[in-house]
Amino acid sequence: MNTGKIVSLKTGFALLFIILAFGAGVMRHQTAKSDAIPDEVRGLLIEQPVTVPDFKLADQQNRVFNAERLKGVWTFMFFGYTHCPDICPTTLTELDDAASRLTELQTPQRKIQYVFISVDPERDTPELLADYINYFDARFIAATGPVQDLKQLTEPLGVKFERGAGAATEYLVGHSSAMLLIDPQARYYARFAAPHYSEEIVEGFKQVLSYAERQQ
Amino acid sequence: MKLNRTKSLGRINITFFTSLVLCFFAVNIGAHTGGGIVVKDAWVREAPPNAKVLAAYMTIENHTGTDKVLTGVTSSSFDRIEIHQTLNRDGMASMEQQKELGIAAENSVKLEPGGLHLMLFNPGAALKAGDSITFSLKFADGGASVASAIVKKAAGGSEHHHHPEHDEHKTQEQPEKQNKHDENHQHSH
Repeated sequence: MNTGKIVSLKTGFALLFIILAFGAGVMRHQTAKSDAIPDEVRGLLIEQPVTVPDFKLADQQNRVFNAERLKGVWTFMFFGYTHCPDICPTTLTELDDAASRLTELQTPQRKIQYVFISVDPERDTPELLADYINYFDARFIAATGPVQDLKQLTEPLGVKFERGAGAATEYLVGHSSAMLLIDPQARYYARFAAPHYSEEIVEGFKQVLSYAERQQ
Repeated sequence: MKLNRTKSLGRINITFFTSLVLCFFAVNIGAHTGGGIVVKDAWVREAPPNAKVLAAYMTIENHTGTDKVLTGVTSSSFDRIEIHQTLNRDGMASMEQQKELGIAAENSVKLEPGGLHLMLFNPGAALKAGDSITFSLKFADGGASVASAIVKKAAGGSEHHHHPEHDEHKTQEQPEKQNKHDENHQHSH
């Protein structure tokens, strides 16, 4: 009788120990997980950051725009064309609003730039791009180049564009709607899905930034 | 007794007269809105001075008991106007021309940034915020409606978020934001 009691007590302790150990393990596992990637950042990050390949375009002042100009600065990159009346102006207006709110985060060590890449080089000359981008935000960069040069940049990043229906000078262009975030090491680091709202860009960027700076 | 009777007759007369006046106004309002089509909150997005293509947005309400089909829009301020729908499919943004736009009886259709819009080709002159544009809407049944739109600057996709206008807007926008979050969620997997 006594022996039986002791045995069941031992079993009880053993069970309790196993349960506690398991619980602690689960808790530690959860803590480790949240240390690694917070939920707010998880949906934005590119799993394996992609180094932006060598490419060469021209900006609105006809200066070379290449991977060198992505180094040492966070870059928001969006693709579109000036004959796009709805989604491109909407996004650029939102991005202009986000840029104004993000100026307070900027320091000499933490710069941010905003780039509009036109995927319609046939109609979007640097001169046209200059007038267009200055209307939204004179701090922004607008760049383009021949289709094969554009593809040097877009294809490795999974960005697509294609000429659609329409007459000789009034055709439409389909393009990836995501906004890319490139880190100061010129790596494609995070991605914002459309539609774009300034509050979500600002909040998302803050989360990604604090995560990235914790990794250093 | 006699006095009371006269009073109540007077009340009936006033009610009858008021009804007549109301009927008169109701008929007049109907005539002005082109048979029950009402266009609300029409606006054109101000664009860079050299822009060749602009967009217009509005809410078209059909207060008639029959379905209406919008077949064309014209304006003396533009060479040509098309109805377009912005699509965001598999991460690709594109626009699709709509030959016509149905507005069901006692229903409305909202043209808004990132969705349905009028695509305005080749403005006669650069438009500035505050300018007024007149659109002529033509329907399949031969009916027409005139809408006046205001040119506005810097109205992004989240305009409603900063300046909620009225409840109707709010309830229509909320599901859209919800969808967006859902979509983000899907992308993260």
